[in-house]
Amino acid sequence: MSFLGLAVQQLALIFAAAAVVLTALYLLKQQRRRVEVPFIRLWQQVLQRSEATSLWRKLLRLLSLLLQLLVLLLLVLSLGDPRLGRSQRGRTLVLLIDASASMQARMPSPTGRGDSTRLAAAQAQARSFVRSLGGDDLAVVVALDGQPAPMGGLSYEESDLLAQIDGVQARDTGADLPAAIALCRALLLGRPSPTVVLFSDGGFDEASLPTLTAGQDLDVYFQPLPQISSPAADRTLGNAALTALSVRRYRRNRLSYEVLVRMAWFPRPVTSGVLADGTALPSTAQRATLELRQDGEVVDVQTVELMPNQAVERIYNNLSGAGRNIEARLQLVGAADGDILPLDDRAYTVLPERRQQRVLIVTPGNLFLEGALLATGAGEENHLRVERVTPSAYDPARADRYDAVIFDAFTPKAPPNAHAIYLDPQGPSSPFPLRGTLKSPLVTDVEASHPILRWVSLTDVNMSKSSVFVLQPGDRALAGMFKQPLIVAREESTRSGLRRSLALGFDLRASDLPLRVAFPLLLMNALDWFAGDVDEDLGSRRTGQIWRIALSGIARRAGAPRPLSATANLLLPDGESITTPVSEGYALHYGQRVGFYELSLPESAPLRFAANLSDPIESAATLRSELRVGDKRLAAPEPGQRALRRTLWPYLLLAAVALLLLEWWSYHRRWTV
Amino acid sequence: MATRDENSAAQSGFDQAFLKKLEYLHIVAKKVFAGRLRAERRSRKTGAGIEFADHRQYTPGDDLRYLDWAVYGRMDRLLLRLFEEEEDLYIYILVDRSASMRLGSPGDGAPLLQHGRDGRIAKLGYAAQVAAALAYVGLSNLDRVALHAFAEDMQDQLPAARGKGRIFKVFDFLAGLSPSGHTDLRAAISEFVHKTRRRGVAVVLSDFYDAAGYEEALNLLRYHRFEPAVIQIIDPREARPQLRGDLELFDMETGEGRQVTLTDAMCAAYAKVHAEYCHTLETFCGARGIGYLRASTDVPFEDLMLRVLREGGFLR
Repeated sequence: MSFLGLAVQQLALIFAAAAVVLTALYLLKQQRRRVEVPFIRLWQQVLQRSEATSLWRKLLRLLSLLLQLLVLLLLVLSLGDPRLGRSQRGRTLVLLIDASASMQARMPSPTGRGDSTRLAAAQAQARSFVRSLGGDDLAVVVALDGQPAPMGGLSYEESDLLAQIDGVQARDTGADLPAAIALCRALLLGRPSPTVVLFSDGGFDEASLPTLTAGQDLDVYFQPLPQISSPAADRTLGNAALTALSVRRYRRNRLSYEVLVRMAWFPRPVTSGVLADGTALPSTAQRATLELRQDGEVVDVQTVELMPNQAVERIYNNLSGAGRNIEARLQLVGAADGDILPLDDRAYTVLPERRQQRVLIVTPGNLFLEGALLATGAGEENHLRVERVTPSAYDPARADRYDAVIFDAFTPKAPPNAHAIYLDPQGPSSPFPLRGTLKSPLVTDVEASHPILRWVSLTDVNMSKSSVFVLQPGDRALAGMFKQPLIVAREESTRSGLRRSLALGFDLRASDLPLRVAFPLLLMNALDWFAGDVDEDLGSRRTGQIWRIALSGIARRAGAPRPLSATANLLLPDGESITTPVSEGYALHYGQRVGFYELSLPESAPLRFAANLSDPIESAATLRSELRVGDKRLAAPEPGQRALRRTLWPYLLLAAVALLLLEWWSYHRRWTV
Repeated sequence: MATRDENSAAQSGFDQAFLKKLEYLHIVAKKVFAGRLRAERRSRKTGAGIEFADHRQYTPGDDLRYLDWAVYGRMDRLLLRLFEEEEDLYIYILVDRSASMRLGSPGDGAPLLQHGRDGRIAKLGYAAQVAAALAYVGLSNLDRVALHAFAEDMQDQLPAARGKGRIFKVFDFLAGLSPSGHTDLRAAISEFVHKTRRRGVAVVLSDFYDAAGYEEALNLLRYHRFEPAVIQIIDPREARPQLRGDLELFDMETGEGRQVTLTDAMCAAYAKVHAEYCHTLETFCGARGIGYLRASTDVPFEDLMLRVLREGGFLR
């Protein structure tokens, strides 16, 4: 038995003090009513006769004291809120409630009135299960979404667990089942009879299902959603989903965009299990209307034929109008109410703003370089405006008028107040310190994940010689020979903001790199990196991920310094404004809702972006009646041993009242007086 | 004088209505016991009367005038002629005014004859009513009636007198009684018999709650040639108490206390003990020719008096 109220020592102290008072009161002479009698001798005769039973009377009076002490003990014990100790039959349970996007799918209400959601049905099942738990069962509720988290602490309390269940909210994300199982394993580590009960529609990535049975340390049960009689068989029922809405710039002209819309039709969910899923799907196409809107205005409407479980794509070319909100809407033709999951019927994106980039080349003359820049979009109509000066004409004071400066075979005395590319920097004034020269080096180490090296292959690049850089804080070696950096990217925070630069340790003229496709790509990626434009960041993001949003994309107001803020304000799609942390020039946020977001800093115009579900597994809205992992079928959970309520104080109070009644009755029957 | 007596008696409860009740009792008694009750009583004392009663041996110093010379002539014995001496009957009414006689009083200082809310009267008040009735009957029969109040000793007395006009003095005397002191029957009776020269009927009105016992006191009356009669005054509440629970009992006279927790069984046992006590007194009186009557205060005193007169023994 354990006490959740006062500690045992406190209870003992209270009981001792109260018992002393009670005994003192008991020992004190009672104030008796005085009655005159005319001749007490007669009474004395009677009393002498009754004194033969005085010992028995004293015992009875002692019994009265004992009863009162027992009542006191029960009252003091109830102050301690005692709980029954765990027996060997007690389990430790994690109630894993699926809160992923597919749980927002509509389903008929069990009462037959209106529609409910899968999550509501799962919560009702979880409540029912909690009420069936035994007195020894300890449980906690975990919300299963893209970032599984417990809704409270482990508790025996039915009310606590019900509150935890009520706290589960559906998210616009997928379900990270492996992370949830790992969390369950951590929560149940070292506890008796560890048990996980999964309340879900079963719509998981099949690759993640083996985690349910990995290891023998957990008993995992699956509670399928209730089987509610489905409507007429001829009624269209399923989920039409926008599974992707992407926007990208043209390589030649970064000021123009194209938009890709991907759609899919997932007919009525099959409920026969994993193996049967997808085998008996209807093959009839479903017609739907696709609408594209810019800032709320319809710019295109078309009807599409959606084949079951097959992606259909539409591409919108040559879109312009940077900074506009783009929204795609998909609606079934003739069966609008047949779509069970409205969440993915809309997809959002923002055409990212991109202004022209001014580039200054400081070179004695390098056709390779100028030609490559022409190939990457230099021109009046395009996104690059290139100017060239000789090293002798270079004016450092004018450098900050440009977005990027390329130093070719020339090393400035001080780095410019702009992004910069250094081609073969030399001398002590080199912003990238040198520690030597390698002759005919080979590129053995490549940091392929860096945005600058996207689609760039440096294999077999030849050069007559190359300087070796000494890495400084913020430097990242993109290519090198046996850990000796030959190409280095730098990212540093300065008073005027994030500053990026790139250094190649060799002269282009003494290398075959300019003759390769990799060179214009390298230049293009570097200039995009300087502009904070990475393709995967364009327009929209996926929910269920931690977003790194570059603050460099936020346009400063004229004259306002770029603040070195540790936080940024983020306006969520539902209108809620939150503060999100900033690290190394990026705002960090775990995306849980689809829609348009606005990130803002003080004295800056907000940066808009969008988020979409973009998860075909969730959009499939699978509804499984059983969950199989290999040959093993997950069983339904069993109710607990419901022998006694967990809280004991009501019983103690009832016992105290019963004893008081017994004492009262015996007193008035003159047994214990 | 009579008017003043009437007023004071009326204030104490002995009013005209009470007097009418006594008159009624007297008339009823006359009708019921006609021929048996007469005003004239003859004492058993022999002395200077005119009606021959007996002879006795002459002893030197006797009055030679009463020698029966005829007997001497026939039998040669000196016998003295005795004559019945006619004198008034003396009725002594001894009223117990000890503290235990307060039982039944509606409150301290309440008039003696005041009835409580339960319709009952204090034992002393009841005894006073009976005493007044007895006195009225005696006075009406031209007997000499004296009243004495006692507790631990003889405390007040109304000297013997005759004539109905004295009844207001009786009322006044009784109205002045208040319960106090403890009962000592032997001391009180001893004082009475030694101070009273004239013998007569001694009616004792008491609850006879004396720790030293009542036997010696009643025997003293007998030994001193009084004709004792006993009226035991009891209250139903002391005979069958309805007390329950945790109580502290204390004696009205001695103040002696005892803490008790009374149950039904104990009260029943007490009632039995009390009945035995009364029965013992009755047996004692019966064995010694002492008239005994138990008077409960819940019985109207008129009924009691009729019973007294009907059964006789007290007033001949």
